[in-house]
Amino acid sequence: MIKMKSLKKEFLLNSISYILLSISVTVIVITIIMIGFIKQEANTKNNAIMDTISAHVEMTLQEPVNMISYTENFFSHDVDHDSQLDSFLNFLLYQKYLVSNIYMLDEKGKIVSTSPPNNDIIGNDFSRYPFFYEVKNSDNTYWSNVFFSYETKNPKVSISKKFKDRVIVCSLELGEIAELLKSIDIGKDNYIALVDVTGRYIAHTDSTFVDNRLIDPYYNKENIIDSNNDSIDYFGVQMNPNIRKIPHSNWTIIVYQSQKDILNSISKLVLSSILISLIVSIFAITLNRSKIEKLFSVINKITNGIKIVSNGDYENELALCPYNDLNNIINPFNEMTARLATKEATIRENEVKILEMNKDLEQQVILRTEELEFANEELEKSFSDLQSTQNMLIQSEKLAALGELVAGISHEIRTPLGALVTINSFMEVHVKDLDKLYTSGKLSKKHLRHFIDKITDSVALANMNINRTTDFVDSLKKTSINQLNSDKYEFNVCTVINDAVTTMSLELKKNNIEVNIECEEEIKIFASPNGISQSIINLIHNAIKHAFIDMESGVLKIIVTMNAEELQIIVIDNGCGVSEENIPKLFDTFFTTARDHGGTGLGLNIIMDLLEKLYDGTIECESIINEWTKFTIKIPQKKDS
Amino acid sequence: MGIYALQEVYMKKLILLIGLMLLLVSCKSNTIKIGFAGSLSGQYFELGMASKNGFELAIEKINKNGGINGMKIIPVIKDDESNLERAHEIINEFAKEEVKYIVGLGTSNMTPVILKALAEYDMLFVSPTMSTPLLAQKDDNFIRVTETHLIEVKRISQFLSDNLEARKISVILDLDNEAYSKSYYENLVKDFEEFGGTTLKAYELTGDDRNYNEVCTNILKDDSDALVLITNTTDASNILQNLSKLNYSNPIIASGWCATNELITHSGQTAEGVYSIRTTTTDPNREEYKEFMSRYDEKYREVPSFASFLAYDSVQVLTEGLNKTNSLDTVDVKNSIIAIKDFTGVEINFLIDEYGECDRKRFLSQIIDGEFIVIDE
Repeated sequence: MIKMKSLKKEFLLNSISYILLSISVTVIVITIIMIGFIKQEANTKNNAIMDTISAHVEMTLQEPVNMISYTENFFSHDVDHDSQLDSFLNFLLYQKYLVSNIYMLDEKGKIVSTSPPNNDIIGNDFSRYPFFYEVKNSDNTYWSNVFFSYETKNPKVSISKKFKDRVIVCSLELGEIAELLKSIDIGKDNYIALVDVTGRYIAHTDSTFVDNRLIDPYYNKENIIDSNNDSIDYFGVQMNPNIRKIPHSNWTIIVYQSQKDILNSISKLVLSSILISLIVSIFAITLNRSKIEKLFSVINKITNGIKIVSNGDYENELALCPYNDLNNIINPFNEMTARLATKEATIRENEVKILEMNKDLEQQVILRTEELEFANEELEKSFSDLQSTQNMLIQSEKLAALGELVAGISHEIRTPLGALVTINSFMEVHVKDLDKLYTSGKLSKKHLRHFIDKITDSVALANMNINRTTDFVDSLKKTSINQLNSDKYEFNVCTVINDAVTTMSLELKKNNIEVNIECEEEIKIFASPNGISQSIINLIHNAIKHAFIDMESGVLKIIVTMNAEELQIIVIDNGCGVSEENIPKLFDTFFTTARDHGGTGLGLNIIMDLLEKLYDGTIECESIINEWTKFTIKIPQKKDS
Repeated sequence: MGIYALQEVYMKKLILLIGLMLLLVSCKSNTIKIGFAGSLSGQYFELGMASKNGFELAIEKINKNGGINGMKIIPVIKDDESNLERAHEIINEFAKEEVKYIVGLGTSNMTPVILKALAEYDMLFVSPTMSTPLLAQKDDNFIRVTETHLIEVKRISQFLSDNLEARKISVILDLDNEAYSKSYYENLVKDFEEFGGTTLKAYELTGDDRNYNEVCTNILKDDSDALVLITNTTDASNILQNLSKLNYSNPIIASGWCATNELITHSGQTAEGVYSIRTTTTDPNREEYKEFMSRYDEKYREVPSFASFLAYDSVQVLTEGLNKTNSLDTVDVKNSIIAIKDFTGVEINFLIDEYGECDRKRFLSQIIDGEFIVIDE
């Protein structure tokens, strides 16, 4: 099911989305560019700061460098250095406000002169200070580690160099550098630090770092800060260090740029961008919305026009609008409306006709229905007649069978009876002859012997015929009893089958049909034997009438087997067989291939019906044309029987 | 709003408040503050700075190893500026900031500050370098990892008498640290007398204007056999320099207070031969010592002084006490420290007795070729 949407809403939402998306992308791109710009700006600013500090430090340190140079000059002249030493040192110190003290040491490290003059320390042994022992055997200028005046807490550094047998030591006040650092506006969370060669802070934006004599945590023994770190943890704050080494002193300026500071700048930028983009978005969306409203008012007019038309007013024509795209809908719609109007008129005309036609049709339907009802009654009547006819046919089949049975019985009995009559006549003649001979007195032993032999033969023959008749009657009786009696009891199946065969013996003999029965002696079942008996009789009858109809002789085999599940009786003949297309119809009512020969087509149907009713049994047929036909009766054995 | 609704509103607020408080409490319990009080400026700044360095080094190591019972140590460092008044102020600041455990103070002149703090606040002090006997043998919240100078004084007296065969000594003392130097001097006089000696004169240095030359000139005039310096390093080095210029040749003994490496630096060759009874290690291969030296050099780029070792030991003692007890009560921690008794120091093992007093071996040393060499264990 298609979900219904509002076009106007979709237009609005889409336009808002696209506006916001494009503005967002723009903001993001600008932000990314600006972040780089901000970082670059920060670096530029830091570089400028480092330049300033470096220049100032250079300038500051230039003083002692100049002093060293002046001293070199002093010692290069061939003058009495000792006597001029004091004035020279004062000269050095003159207006050199950053150098607080100058000492001149002898080769043993003892002070020979100071500036400002301090007689108390003349002769003091400074030999264990690094500024002496580091230069006493070297031509290098020595820059000491920063130390601190305990009165002022200001950092100081000593610079010393050996000149001939003298070592000049300048103590440089670095407080001004510290003041310079503090005066630079680096930003709230940023720091500027100046460290000496050991990493100790000479100056720091936060003076406590200097007061506490802290060492920069990232200044390792090789005096290198790993400047590849973009970000480091500086006393709990994420910072980006910018490093610059100062050549003369090997001091290092480090500007710690707080990431928070950069992030603040970036977030300000981002917020501004977002704000601007929101304002622009609102403006754009408002403009866009008004445009959409205009468009949809036109669409609404079209919609209303269409509604009017849909209500049946085909005279209503939609007015054209300023949009070509919509006019491409309006024009065809108007044409369609005109066509609809024409068609409607035609339809109305046809409606009337159809109504009239409907009336006719209704009449016809009524008539037809009456006819059909009558026909149905007739059919029902015919069906009822057919059923009666079927019953009559079944009855007449039964009567026919009975007639045949009676005919068979009559023949079977008449034959031995006839024999008995003949024998009786013969014996009557011989008795009369014997009587004549006895009466005439001519009866001899020979005549008596001859008479006895003849009578004996006759009696034997008579007995045989009597027995034959008795057996036949017994069989018949059993069969009829079986047929008449539907009571269930245990009976020997083979015996019942034998009896049934016997009952048909005349017919079998007449048609030269041999019957072979294969049956185990002890096959017994608990049921009514009537069905089996009747089935065998009917199958034999069927075989005679159909299987062996054009044959001079035939063989019928009856095989009886029994297992736990069922009793199976196979009746197989070597007759003409049944065609494949007829096999399925064999058990159908009135189906016969011998109607011309008086076949009713009920025999097998009766067997099937009987087996089903009496035993829940079945019968099947298999056949090969001109070879054999096999009927298989299956009677299931109930477990509780 | 009905009464039940109001009750509900207040109940919710109360639950929120309790939750916040619990949160705060739970947040707080993850850290513990340990204060450092020392002279980071002023005349005793060298001792203070050296102590601070040792303190920081110890805190760093403990935090790296997980803190105290899982609590990270927050160091709170304050500078008493070598000034009593400022020292009182920083104690008050510590109290306001709820710092109960303090490594400090550094110099014996701060004794009144300690006494006042112990009386007014629930604090536990572990001092690295205060050796005044005025705080000795008291059942209080004061522990130190250095001995009182009484033993040092006795040994010096014995050394002067037995080894140097000195019968008369001169003494220079810094009265700005009266609590240390006066007590040191008085015990020296007493002990030296017991050994058959006499203290001829005590020269007192006080204030900013110290005329070392005059003092040294007068000492030369004394007919003394030896000189004992009960001063800070700066004074001691100035005295040595002046004495050298005056060709003073008698043995000089520096008290433990000024027997530092800075003395050697500031005094140059004039410090050669100076004796001292000082704390040191006789086993430079000792694991704790080697580790300390390596870390100190890496962090501070300088040679540590005795105060650095003692401050480090102070932190160790405090944290071992805190670790042993689950309580944060200062008395419980103190008792815990006393119960531990035996401590492994950086330079040497030491004992803390039931009064929080330290028993640490000191060694007779002499400055030879710019180094303190142990000459008698």
